[in-house]
Amino acid sequence: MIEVRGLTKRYPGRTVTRNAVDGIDLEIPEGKLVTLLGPSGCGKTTTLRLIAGLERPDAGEIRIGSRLMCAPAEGVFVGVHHRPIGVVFQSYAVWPHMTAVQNVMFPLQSGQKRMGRTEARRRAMEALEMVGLAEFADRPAPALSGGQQQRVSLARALTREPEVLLLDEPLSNLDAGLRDRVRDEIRSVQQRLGITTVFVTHDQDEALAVSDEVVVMDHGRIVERGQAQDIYRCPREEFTARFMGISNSLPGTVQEGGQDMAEISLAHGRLRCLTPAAAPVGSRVNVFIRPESLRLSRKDSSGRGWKGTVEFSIYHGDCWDYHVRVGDTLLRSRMYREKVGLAHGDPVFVVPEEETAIAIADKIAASDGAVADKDESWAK
Amino acid sequence: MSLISRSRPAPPPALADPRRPARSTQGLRGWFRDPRNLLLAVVALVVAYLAIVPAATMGVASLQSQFLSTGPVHWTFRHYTETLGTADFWTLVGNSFGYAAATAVISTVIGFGLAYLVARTDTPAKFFAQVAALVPLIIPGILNTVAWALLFAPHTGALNVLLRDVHLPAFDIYSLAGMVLVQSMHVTPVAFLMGTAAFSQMDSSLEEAALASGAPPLRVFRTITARLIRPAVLSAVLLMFVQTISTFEVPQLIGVPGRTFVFVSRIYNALQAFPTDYGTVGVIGVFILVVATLGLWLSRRLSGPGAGVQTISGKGYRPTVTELGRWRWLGLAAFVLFFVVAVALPLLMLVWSSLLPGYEPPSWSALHHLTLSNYREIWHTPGLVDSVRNSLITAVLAGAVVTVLSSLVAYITVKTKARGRGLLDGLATIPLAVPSVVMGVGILYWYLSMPLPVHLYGTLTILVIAFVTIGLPYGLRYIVPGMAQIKDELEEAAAASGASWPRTFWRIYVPLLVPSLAAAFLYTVIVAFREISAAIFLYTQGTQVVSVTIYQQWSNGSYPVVAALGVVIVVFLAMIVAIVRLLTRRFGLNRQ
Amino acid sequence: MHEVRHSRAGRRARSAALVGAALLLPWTLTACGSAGLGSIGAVEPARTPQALLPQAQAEGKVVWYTTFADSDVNDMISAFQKAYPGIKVDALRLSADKLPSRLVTEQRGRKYNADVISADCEPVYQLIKVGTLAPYRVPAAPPLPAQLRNLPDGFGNAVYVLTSAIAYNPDGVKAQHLQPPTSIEDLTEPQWKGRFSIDPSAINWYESLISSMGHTKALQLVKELGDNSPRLVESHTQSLTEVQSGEPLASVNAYAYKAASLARKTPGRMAFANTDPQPAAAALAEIARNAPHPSAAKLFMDWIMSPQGQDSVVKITNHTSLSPAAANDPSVWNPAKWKPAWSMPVITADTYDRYLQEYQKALHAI
Repeated sequence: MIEVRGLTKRYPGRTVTRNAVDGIDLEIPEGKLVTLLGPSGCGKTTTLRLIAGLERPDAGEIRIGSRLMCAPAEGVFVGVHHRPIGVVFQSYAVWPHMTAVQNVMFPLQSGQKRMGRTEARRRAMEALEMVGLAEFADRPAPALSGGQQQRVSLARALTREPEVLLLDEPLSNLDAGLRDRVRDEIRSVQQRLGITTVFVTHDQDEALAVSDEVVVMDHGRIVERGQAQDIYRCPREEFTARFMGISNSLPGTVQEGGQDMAEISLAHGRLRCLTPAAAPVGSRVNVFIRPESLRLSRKDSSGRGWKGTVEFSIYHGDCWDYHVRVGDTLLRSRMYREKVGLAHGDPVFVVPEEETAIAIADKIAASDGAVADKDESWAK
Repeated sequence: MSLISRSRPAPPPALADPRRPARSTQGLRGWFRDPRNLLLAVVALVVAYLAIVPAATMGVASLQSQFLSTGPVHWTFRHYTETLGTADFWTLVGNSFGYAAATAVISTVIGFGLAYLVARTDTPAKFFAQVAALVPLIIPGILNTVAWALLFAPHTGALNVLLRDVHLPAFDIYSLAGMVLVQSMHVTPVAFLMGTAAFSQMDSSLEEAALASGAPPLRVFRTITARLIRPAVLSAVLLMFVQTISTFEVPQLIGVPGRTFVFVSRIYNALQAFPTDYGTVGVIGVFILVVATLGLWLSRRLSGPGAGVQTISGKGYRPTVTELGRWRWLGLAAFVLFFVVAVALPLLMLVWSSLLPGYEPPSWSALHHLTLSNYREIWHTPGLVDSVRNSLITAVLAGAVVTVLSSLVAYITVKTKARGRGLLDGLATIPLAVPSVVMGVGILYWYLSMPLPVHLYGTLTILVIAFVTIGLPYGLRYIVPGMAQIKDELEEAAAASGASWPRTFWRIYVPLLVPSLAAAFLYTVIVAFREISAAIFLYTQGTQVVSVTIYQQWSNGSYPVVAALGVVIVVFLAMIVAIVRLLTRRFGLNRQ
Repeated sequence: MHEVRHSRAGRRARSAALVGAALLLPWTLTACGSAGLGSIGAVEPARTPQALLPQAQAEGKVVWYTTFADSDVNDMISAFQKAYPGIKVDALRLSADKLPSRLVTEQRGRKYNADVISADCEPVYQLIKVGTLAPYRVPAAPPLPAQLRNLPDGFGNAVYVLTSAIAYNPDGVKAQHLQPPTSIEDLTEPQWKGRFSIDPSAINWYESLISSMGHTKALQLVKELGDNSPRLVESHTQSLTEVQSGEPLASVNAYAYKAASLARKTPGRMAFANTDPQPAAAALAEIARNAPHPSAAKLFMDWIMSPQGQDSVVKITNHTSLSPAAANDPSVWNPAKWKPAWSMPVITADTYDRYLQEYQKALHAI
């Protein structure tokens, strides 16, 4: 289990009004995989490196398994090589002058409790078997493919049975097909071993696929956290919603309030939406609708459809994305169908699904002067 | 939800953290507790000490009325005004810079060109090429220069006779062009070593990207490879420039007869006066140092931040070898040409000289006089075996020390963000700009005058110190590019695997740096065998080294005997080079 | 790894150390400095070898700083040890221009390593002047010529004499339709332009010219030589090797003894002509101040200046000895035929430097 309190790291040498990591608190429960998710520059990698001990924080505390790892205020800093961690780097960081098994043996022969060569090799072979690379054990590292190297890296990180596993965007450098396989491998190994894991990524699909919990970060702060399904189904912050790819956003006003759900009146009609936070009647909200929740049809059979014109379409193999102009907004609709048959300029009705859109309070319009984090520089 | 979530509201723009405690608990003492930092601090101090001693002596000598004299001395600027104020000093400057610049450019172009052939193409006979490229460095400077003087003597030089026979114009070696020719051939190996260190550790994916974008290979070389290698090239040019300015053999043996005078000639004149005019020597030394420092700063500026791009990562490290096809025989031909011109010719001249009882130019009639008597006489040279043993001991020790020190200094300058690291790099490079003569005097004076607990004068240690000081800047130049091309993550992965810093350094950095380390070691060994200007001040009865023996013989001995001695030394050193190359071939990354 | 705090503390430590070292250095360099080495002491009277022997044997060895050629030193040492077995000789060979500064530097650093010095008279005299040598009357020293008797008492020990001659390549000279040179003035003729070499650091040769024909004439002669495009040479080996190679054809101030031994080996390519007057320079042997093995030093001096020692010198090195009984090489030394013109060691340092300057200027060597 990892416990982080008030962790702060400044950008070195510059005086800016934000920090790389800005006073975050975090707790990673024992045996769970928590993902730090966010655009580049949000501080997720820095946080991971701080936990690993590859960087020193300016303030805060980090505990791994109830042992204090660092606390600048008290002058405590446990060096990287003394921390009970395993790290997988984005570029694999597999040593080119060693074979696969030598790479995996290295941690067993370092540190205070060193193993003899035979014992270390045995344990390393076990780790390699776990990731399915036993037959490549004596191959020189540069002769392995990218995916194989990443798995070696994983085996190496786990071989001395650390308390905590840290992965820094481990899948970014892999090609798409490989990415899924390695991702599954990582998740399966993690669950099998029950090891506390922190996973850093900018890809929300990855985050959803492997995580027990997701922590969304932006500009050095935690925006939102929760279980993967909750984050996906009903994000509480606009940033999260946009980052998770919920690309359609329409302004609206709350007509009828409720506990979890509210009736929102939009420009083109009314819609029943999820409300993560209590929304007083009459308040302004932004309604986020997933592309999958917008159905298209030529005829407005339900009467709730919004009239629009198809602008262009993108084919993804298993689905079609249609960009439809409704009024002065461009909406994106995703249809999982073989043939849809709509072309540029076709008139079409857009039918939103009820009770799936998310209504989030519009902070800018809100009148009580809370600081509006409306920075548009989200990379996604 | 099982996570305690308490995201703080946005704080006011100020950065101050009221809980910030006094940093003194984490200060100096805590910092030193880390063995890595302790080691690095020690290294920095040692390097600073080694570099400052000769440079400071030079400065003091230039400012004292009579340095090392027996009467009272006082501080004065007289030497500066006297030396820098004369018109012919600036003629010296023009000559020296012209000579050094031409040499630097030519030797870098050739050296890096050959290095490219070895490291990045499929030119055959690589091993031979690698040894051959180093041999010019092995031939003792004096003998190499004399051999060229005899080959290209304006009227009777063997090559000039040949040239005239085929109706080509003869080449007068006693000219600026002659100086540049001889010195370029002599120092090209240094550029070659630097080039191989830089090229062989490059990840070629950057070039492949260019090739894949449709650029023809030549354009790729010009725009990508050349840019990547630029820091190393600039370093090499600077190095060759400064080294050329400070060495004495060519200016004294070819420049003086041809009446092309450079800094070193002036230094030698000053040394002949009695009492020795160390003031002038000091002023010139300081001048060279200032120029070299400016050059170093300039080359840094032009290289951009950091000593190079990190191209050795943990992933996909596969330096491509460009296949030249039919052209690879041209590559071999380039090597053979270089070998013939830079090595075979002077070496053959040496061998020829060594086989005659009294020198005569090569001719058919002379063949009757060939004899091995000079080689027999070598064995009777007093103290030859001792001097070879001394040279070997000092060479290996100095080589080891330079390799260790430079790799640690390279680590500090490249891998840490320590504030003083630019200064440290500069300090470690200062000895480059100190003419070896001044180095010898400086070290001699310091160790005689310093109230040290150990008496180093008259020991081999003082020679080792001199060789280490001279070899350190080169060691750095070989190792820094290699260090810079290793990605940080490789070290971080080791630390994250539980390895302490010394273990990380030994098991990760060292194996990846073997080509650079070997270059640094070999170069220092060769320096130790060849270095005469400094050694001549520091040797005593029991600590004579080979370079001194050769110098003594050449000053007032028998030329054929010293030629024979030179041949023996060349063979000996070539064997050492070959052995080290063989050993590191197995351990290097390029298992070709 | 990017640890800013590390670097700050580290930087403090490093800066402090550097500043400290930088401050310490000049202070040490100057503080250790200006103590004079002292003046010439009182002359040691001569001692008989027998009286010195027991002490010398107790001391066990003598350290000899010398400009004798490498190949000759060992043979000289063997000869000494035949006469006095049990006393080791540690020889440090130095070239003539390096020996004085080495001795001075050592003594200035209070390191007294040398017992006996032997070198050309010019640097030896300068060493005498700065008080690094100790006077000692050798019992059986060869008599000095008149011009050298102004050497201070106790220092007039001429261990050998070096003469200069014009070395030339007879075959080459004939091939170029030239006459073999017989005098220095010959080489100022136009047909010799650019065809001879000269050593621009041979001050003793220049001094010999001055002592034989006066300063003005000597300078004029050197100027004429300098205007005849001579090749400048750095070492004696180099100059004679070049003559053997045929380019240049002659060398103005070569060492006669060296030319003689080469002429024996390769007569077609090496011959030499002694001039009258013949430039001659004495090499002196002296005892160093605070010699660590004083008795052994005196014993060695006694031996090398004695008729037996001088005989060894001539036999082993082919130099010329002033000892009346010496069997010098007649082709090199014959005062009746070639009157020696001695170089003058006893001059002030300023005069020495002035001569050096004008000599080199006249030859366009600076």
